[in-house]
Amino acid sequence: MTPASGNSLQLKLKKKLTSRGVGTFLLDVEFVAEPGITILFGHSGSGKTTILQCIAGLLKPDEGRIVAGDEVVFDSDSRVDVAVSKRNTGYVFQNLALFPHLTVEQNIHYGLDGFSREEKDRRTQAVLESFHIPHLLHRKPDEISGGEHQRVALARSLVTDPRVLLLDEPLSALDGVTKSKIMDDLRAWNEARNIPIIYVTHGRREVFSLGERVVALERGKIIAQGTPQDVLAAPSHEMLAQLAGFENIFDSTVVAQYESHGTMACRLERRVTAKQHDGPSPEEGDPRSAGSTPVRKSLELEVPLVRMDLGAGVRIAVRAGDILLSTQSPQALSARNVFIGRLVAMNRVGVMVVAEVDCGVLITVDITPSAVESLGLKVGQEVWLIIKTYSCHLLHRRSEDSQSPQQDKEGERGYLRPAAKPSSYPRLKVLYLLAVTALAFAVPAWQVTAPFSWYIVPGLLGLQMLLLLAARVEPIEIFRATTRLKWLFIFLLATYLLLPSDSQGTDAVFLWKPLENFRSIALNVTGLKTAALMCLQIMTVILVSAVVLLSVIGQQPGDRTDRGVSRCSATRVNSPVSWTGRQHNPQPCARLFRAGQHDSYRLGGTSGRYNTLVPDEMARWPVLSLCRTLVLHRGVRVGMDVGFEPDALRERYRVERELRRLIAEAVPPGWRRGESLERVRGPAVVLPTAAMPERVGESVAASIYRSLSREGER
Amino acid sequence: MPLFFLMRRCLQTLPFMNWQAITLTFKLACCVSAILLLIGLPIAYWVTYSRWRWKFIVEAVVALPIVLPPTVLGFYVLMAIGSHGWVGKIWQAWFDRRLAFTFPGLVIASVLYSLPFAVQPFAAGFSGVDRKLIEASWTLGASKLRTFLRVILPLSFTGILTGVVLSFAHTLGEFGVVLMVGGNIEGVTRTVSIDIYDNVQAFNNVAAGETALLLLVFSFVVLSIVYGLNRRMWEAFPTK
Repeated sequence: MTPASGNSLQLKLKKKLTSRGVGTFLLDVEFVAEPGITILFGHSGSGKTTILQCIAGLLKPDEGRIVAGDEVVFDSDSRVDVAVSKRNTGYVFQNLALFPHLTVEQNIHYGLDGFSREEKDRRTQAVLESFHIPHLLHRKPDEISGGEHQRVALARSLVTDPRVLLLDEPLSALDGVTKSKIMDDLRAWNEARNIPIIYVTHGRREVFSLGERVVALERGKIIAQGTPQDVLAAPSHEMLAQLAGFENIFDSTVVAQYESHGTMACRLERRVTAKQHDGPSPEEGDPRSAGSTPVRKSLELEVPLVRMDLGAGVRIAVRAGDILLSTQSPQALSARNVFIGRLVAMNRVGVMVVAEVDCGVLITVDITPSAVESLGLKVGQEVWLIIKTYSCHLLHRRSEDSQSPQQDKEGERGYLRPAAKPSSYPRLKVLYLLAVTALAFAVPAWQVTAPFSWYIVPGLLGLQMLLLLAARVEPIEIFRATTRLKWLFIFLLATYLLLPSDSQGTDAVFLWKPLENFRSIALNVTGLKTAALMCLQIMTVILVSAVVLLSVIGQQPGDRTDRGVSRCSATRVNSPVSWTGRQHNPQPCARLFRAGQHDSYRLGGTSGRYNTLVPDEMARWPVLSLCRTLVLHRGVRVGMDVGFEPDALRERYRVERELRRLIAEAVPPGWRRGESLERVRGPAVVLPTAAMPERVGESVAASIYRSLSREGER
Repeated sequence: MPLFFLMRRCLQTLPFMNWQAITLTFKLACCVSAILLLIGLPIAYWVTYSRWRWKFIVEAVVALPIVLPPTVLGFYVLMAIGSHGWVGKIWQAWFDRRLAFTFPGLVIASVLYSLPFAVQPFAAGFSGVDRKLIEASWTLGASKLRTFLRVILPLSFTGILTGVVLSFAHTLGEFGVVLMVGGNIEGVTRTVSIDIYDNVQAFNNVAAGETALLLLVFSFVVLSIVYGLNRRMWEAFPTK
C-alpha cells in the first residue's frame, strides 16, 4: 500500500450554492484531511454533501484546488479537472446506491473492471471478510438486512483501493450498536491502508464516537476544526454549543463591564434553545417584568469579559450540568450569579432528572435523582440557581442573524471578482473561431455560380490576423484550439468526401432571396461541398500560420501543447513517481504538483490574475535564479505565465532565453533535456525531503529557500 | 417461429388477404424499430442527462411528429428525398437509385415519424434510474459507456421495451406519411393500412375487414405480451 505520509487530501474550494431553506450562499472552505476519519459536521444545507461531491468530481467547484494523495484532481487555475471515473475516490451515498439488479458479488466486482477473475475474487473475499459479510455473496440487495446494506456499500467502495473514502451519512439509518460495529470494521480496514475518510454527519453523537478530527460547517464556512474535544470544549458558535450539549443558550445584552475583575454583566433577554422536555410551563418564552416573580439581580449574569460595546447583543451558553440548585438562599459562595426562580417541571431522563426553573427565563438544570429526594424537590417550589462565571460561554451569533445580508454580499463579490476576467478571454476565442467558420461557409455560398476566386483567401487571412489581434490570442492558443477542433475537421472532411459533385449547381437545398432585385442566394450540394473544402483550407491556413508564428518566436508547439500551461508549466523531469497505470493523469500541471505538492510555480509576470503569486519569494529570489534552482536541483522544467499582452510575451520569451542560457552554462556536457541531472552529475545537489512544503499553502520556492538556508547554516 | 408458420398456413385459407402487404408492413416495422433502437437510445440519453440550456428546443423538435399532421411531415420528407431534394440527390449520387417511392425512402420517413414514440419512453426509462446509482457507478471507476450498459440499460429495460414496441406498433398502423412518401405501389410501398383503405374504396369490405381484424388481433396480442412481460420485469428488478 502507499505510504501514509502522502495520503492526505488537500481541499480548497469555492462554490455558489442555492440550498433549500437557507438561500444562496457561498461555500468557501479550505482544509486538509489527514489519513483517518475526519468528520464534516453541520446542519443540513450547510454544504457538507456539496464538498463531498466536489471531491468525487460529481460537482465542479467554481474555483479551487483539490489534491488527493499525490495527484491534483481539480485545479481551477491550471484547468485540471480529472473525470469522476478516474479520480479513484470511494463514495458511499446516503441511500447507499447498491445496484438493485446485481448480486452482492457483482456489485463488489463492479469497480474491479480490468482485473483478472482471480484477482477480483481474491480482493472480494478479502474485503467481504474484513466486513464480516462473506455469506451474502450471491444475494441481491433487496434480500439482505439493514446493516448489511451498509457493509456491502462500504465493501464495494473499498475494494477498489480508493485514495479517499467519502461517507455521506451512510449509517444514519442504523442504531448505535450496529453503527459502531461497522465503524470498528472500517477503522480496522483503514489501519493497513491509511487513507483519509471523510464522514459527513449532522448528529452530535457520531462526532464524539467516530471523529479523530472535526470540521464544523455553517452556511458554507468552516467555523471550527480540530479534535472533537478541542472544538466542543469551548464552543464559539451556537451550533457547536448545541452540539456540545449546552442546553441553556440565551440572547443577552451587555449592560456593564468590570475590566478590573475581568468580567462583564449581561442581561438575559430570551432563551434561544427550545425547551427540551415537555412540562407545565405557562409563562414559557414570555419574558416577564421584574415585579411578577421575585427575581433578584434582575437576571443579570456575570460572564467573562470580552471586548464588546455596552448594549451589544451577545449569546451565552451554559451547560445544564454546570448549574447548582439550592432550596435555600446560598451564603458565602464564590459563584457570582445566584438567581431565584420557581421549579416548573421535573422530568426523569435516564439516570438524571432534568429540571426546568423559571427565573424570568427558563433555565434547564440537570440534577441527580438522589438530590431530588434529599432536597425534597417539588414542582412549584422556590429554588436558587448558582452559576459560576466561567461556566458561561460566549458565542458568536449565528450568521443567519443580522450580519448575514452583508456577508452574502461580500461572498458574492468574492465570487464574482475572480470569475470576471478569465471568462472574457475564451469568449473572444470562440467568437474568433465562429467568425472564421462562418466566413468560410458564407463565401462559397455566395460564390457558387461565379468562378472560384482566389482573392478570398488572402482577404480571409488578413481578417483572421485582425481578429487575432483583437482577441489578443497567443499563437500557441490558436494552435491548441485548432487541434482541439479535430471533430469539426473530420466532419468537414467527411462532408467534402461524401457529398456528390454536381456541376450544374441546380440542386438547391434552400433558396433565400432577401430583397427584391437582389441576387438570390442558393445554398446547394455543390455549395456545401465547396464550403467544406474552404473550411478545411482555412483551418489548415490557421494551423500553418500559427506554426510559422511559433517557430519565428522560437517556441515549439511540443513544449506547450498541454492544457494547463497557459498559466504554469513546470514539469518534473526525473520524478520518482511514475505516471503509468490507471491513475495516469496526462496533465502536466498535475505532474508538477505531484513533484512539488504546492501551487506556486507561477513565477510571476506582469498581467492578469496570475501575476506574482509568490511575492515574498520573488523579492528574495529573482525569477531567473529561482527557475535555475528548480531546473537544476529538482529536475523541474519551468515555464512562466505572463498573460497575453505583447510586452509581457516578449518579456517571457526573453526570460526563457536567458534561462536557457543559464541552464546551458550550468549543466555539464552530455546532459539532455528530460534526463536526470543526478545521473550526470552525481547526487551532489539532491535536496533533502525537507524541501517539501511543511505547511499547507507554503510554496515549494519558499521551502527550497528554507532548506537551502538550513544547509548553509550547516 | 413454427407457430407463426402454422398461423400463417391457417390464415392463408382466408381468401382475400393481401399477404404481400402484410409481410411488407412487418418488414418495415422491424426495420424502423431496429433503427430507432440504434438512434433513439443516444438521443434519449442526451435528452435525459444533458444540462444544455437550449435542450428544450431539441426536445420540441423530437416531439414534433406527435402533433404534426402526417401529411405535413410526409410532404417535407417527400420534398427532401425527391429527386430534386438534397437527400434524394445525395442518395442518387451514392447508390445510383432514387429514394422517393421506394422501401428505403419509406423507412426514412417512418423513422422520423416514429422517433418520439421511441425516444420518449426511452427517456422516461432513463430518468427513472436513480441518479445516485449512476454517480455511484462513476465513482467506482466505470466510464460513461460502461455505466450506460451495465446500470442504466438494465434498470430502464421496461422503458426501452415499451419504446421499441410502441414504435413497432406505430409503424404498423401508419397511413398518411406512407401514402405521401411511398405512394401506393403494389409490393414496394403498399402497406396494410393502405391496402385496407384501397379495399374500402373499392367497396371490398370483406377483404378490408379481414385485414383489419388481423391487425387488431395482432396488436392486441403483442401489447398483452409486452405488458405481461413488463409486469414480471418489475418483479425481477424492483428499482423503486
